[in-house]
Amino acid sequence: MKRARLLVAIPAIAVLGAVVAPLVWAGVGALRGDVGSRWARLNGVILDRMVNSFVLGIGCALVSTLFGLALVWAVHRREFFGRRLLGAIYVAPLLVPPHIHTVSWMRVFGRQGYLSNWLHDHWGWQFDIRRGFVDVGGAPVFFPGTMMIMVSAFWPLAALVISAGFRQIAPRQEEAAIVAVGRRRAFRGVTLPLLAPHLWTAGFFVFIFAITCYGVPALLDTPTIMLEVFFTSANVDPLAAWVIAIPLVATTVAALLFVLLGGGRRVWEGRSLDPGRVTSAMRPRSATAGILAWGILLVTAGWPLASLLHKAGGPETYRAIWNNVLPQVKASLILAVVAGITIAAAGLLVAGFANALGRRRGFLVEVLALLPFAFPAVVVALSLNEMWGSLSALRPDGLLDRWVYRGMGLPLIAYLALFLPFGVRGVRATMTRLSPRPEEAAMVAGRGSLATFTSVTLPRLAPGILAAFVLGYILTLGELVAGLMVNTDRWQTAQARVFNMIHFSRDEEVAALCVMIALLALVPTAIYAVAFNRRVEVL
Amino acid sequence: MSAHVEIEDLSRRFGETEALSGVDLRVERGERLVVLGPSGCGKTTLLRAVAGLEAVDRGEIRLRGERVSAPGLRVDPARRGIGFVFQDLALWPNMRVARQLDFAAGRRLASAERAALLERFRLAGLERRRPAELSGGEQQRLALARALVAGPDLLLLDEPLAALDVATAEELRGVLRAIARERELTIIDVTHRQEEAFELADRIAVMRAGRLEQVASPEDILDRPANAFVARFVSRAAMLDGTAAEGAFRCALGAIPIPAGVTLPEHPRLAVRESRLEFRPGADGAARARVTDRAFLGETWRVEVDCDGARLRARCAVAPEIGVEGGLEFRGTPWFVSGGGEA
Repeated sequence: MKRARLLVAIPAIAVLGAVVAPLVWAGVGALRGDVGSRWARLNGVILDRMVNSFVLGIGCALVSTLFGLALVWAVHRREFFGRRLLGAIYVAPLLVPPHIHTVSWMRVFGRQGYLSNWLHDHWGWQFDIRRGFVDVGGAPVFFPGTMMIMVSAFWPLAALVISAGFRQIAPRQEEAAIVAVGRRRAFRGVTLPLLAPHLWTAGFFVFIFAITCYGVPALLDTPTIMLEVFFTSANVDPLAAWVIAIPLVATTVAALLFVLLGGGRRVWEGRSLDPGRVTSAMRPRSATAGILAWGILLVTAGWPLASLLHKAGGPETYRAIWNNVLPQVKASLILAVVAGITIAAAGLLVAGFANALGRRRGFLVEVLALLPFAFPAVVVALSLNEMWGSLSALRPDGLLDRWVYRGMGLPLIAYLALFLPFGVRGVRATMTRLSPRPEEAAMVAGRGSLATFTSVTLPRLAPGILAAFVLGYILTLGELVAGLMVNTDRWQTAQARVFNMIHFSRDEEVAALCVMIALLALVPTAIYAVAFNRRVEVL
Repeated sequence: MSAHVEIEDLSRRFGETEALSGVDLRVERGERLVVLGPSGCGKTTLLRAVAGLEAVDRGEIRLRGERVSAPGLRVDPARRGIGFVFQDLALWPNMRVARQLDFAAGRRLASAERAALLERFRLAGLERRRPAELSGGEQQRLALARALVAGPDLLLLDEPLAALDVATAEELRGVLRAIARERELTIIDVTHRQEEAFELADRIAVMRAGRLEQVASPEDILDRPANAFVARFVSRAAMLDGTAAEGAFRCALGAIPIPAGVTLPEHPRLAVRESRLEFRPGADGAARARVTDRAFLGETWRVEVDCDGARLRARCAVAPEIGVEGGLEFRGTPWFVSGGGEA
């Protein structure tokens, strides 16, 4: 028994170490050497950028939560045409990375976008999606275009969390209220308060994603803190970038701690009980709800994909870029598959380790695994570069240098650090829902730990492990910043290529490459959805 | 004058399963009807259909003469003037006791009104507590208070007492009876527990596989079951085959006189409840039997006996040894059910 625990504990601790150690390494490094000039960069400009990011994050969180609530409410509590299909595919916008959402929206609302041109020609309005409003101290702080694009990319995250909330509400509690006071008051008085922890958590999640997003503000020139951090890291001093990221990291860590320790803890810990069946009486037919829900999805996912398909044109565009982008597509695919497997395996290890430690200590392990989630990808990437660069410099051309620093190792560790939380959650969410009785029965029957794990536990955890793999795969495929910062030429990703191509204004080719990446993301998701008849669920 | 609840030819399907099949039922004002049946027989579906929480595929439901449910028609549950107590109570975990009552009433209760209600349901002093901080009995009383706070004249109970200990369940049945008398409340209670049915009901409706098998007074259900299923389910009666001749029914218990005026059904079988059979160890009786098992019921013993190959349950005043032989006597009026087509 002890040996079995050690077999889980040692690699789990190694995974946690690989994820957390670079952040500590770079953090400590920032406090050594030329400390004065680094801290001097933490000036008023940075704080202005922080305000912009904060406003963007709050706005994005509010609107995304509202969208998520509307869609999920329609799917769970109303009946309309295609409800089941919508329930299965509403995560589709997540398949399109935020910077690709940006490309597609700019085609409508950009300076030369369809609608911007039309508005200018017919009404004389000069519309620009990049424009900021509400001047404070001579500079705008509110960027609705950037916010709108982030909402279209991130609201499904909010919807996933809120959907988990709806599944945990006992339908009988709502029915009791419906019988007593009718549907509207039941929604206000019972459903919404019971959903409150999930609504808060959804909001905070989106807030963290929005405030740490680099691709959207970079393409729209929105002056956020992330742009400053990236610029400083690339052009000045990576450790100075670590320092100016401190206000951002403090905010995201606080948000994450709220989710984990505050009201969101109930959400995070989940529930194992079956709350009961949602009856047809709880789902009255509503065409309005259907239009609303489908409308949200079609505008936020249908539009970007349709616009990209349209811009890419016929097969000749794809043929034209095929040979040029093949190395990056191959590298992305290999990285996504290997990262997906690594994230699922590491998620299983860490979740198993957390489970073995019991409720309280296990929760601490999970907090540790989730911590890098609060760090922007830029900070994670520069920390990894700092630590592994120093280590590989000890023996140039050694194993570390060839396989980690200049090889596939560093991007993999970066993706593991960024997306391990999803791996841990994918497995933990399934673990908490399972009864321990079958394992106990196997133990009582005299089966050893290993046999029990492989024959009883693992098959029951399979959907969670696969969910972790699919999530890891999709997120890695769409990841931009680590691709730009840590990958060597050999492992340049398709997203990094897209980002570079955007700056050379090759719109058709960019669109065609985006469509190819979206298809690569869609295939395993569709297989998973069909094989397991479920969405990729993280809670 | 129309009945309080009228159900006509009600049917409801869930995929291949027919949860309700052609149910006809009338419940008069102020009546307490208990729907009794095994798990999965459709009794909860029937109750939920009355509440408007379940659609109907065929037939209709009328409340106070008004059509409220039919195919394509479902009057909103909140507009049916009902109180509903759910099996798992469905208390709102986010609300304190006082807020649960205010919310269910649809208004803020006056303090005197709330105090009276809390007093009535023995919840005084618990206003600030949430459901998780209440005992099982307190939760039940709160669920009941919540269902009645808006003053409905029809109370629907979905096995709310099933999870309670005997004493608390008995106490709550007392509360229910008292409230039903005070408010002239019509009650439909669904349960699978016979003792609850007999203690609460003016009439009992026995259900099986989505159909009503018998609707009658508790005495009739017990003494004159409509068929073998009702007899077996309600009183765990044994069915004895035999032949009728010369005014008597000859079976393993001997010749049981057929009362005057009783018409035997086709393929008659004698329904024998354990309380109608007395076993006397070592004594003679109408039939000889041997004890195969025994259980102490508190004041008397229940014995399982083998009587000429038939396994029967009987009562015994003294503690019998396993294997002892004795006499078996049938007491009371015999009741015959049809043996044909029994499931």
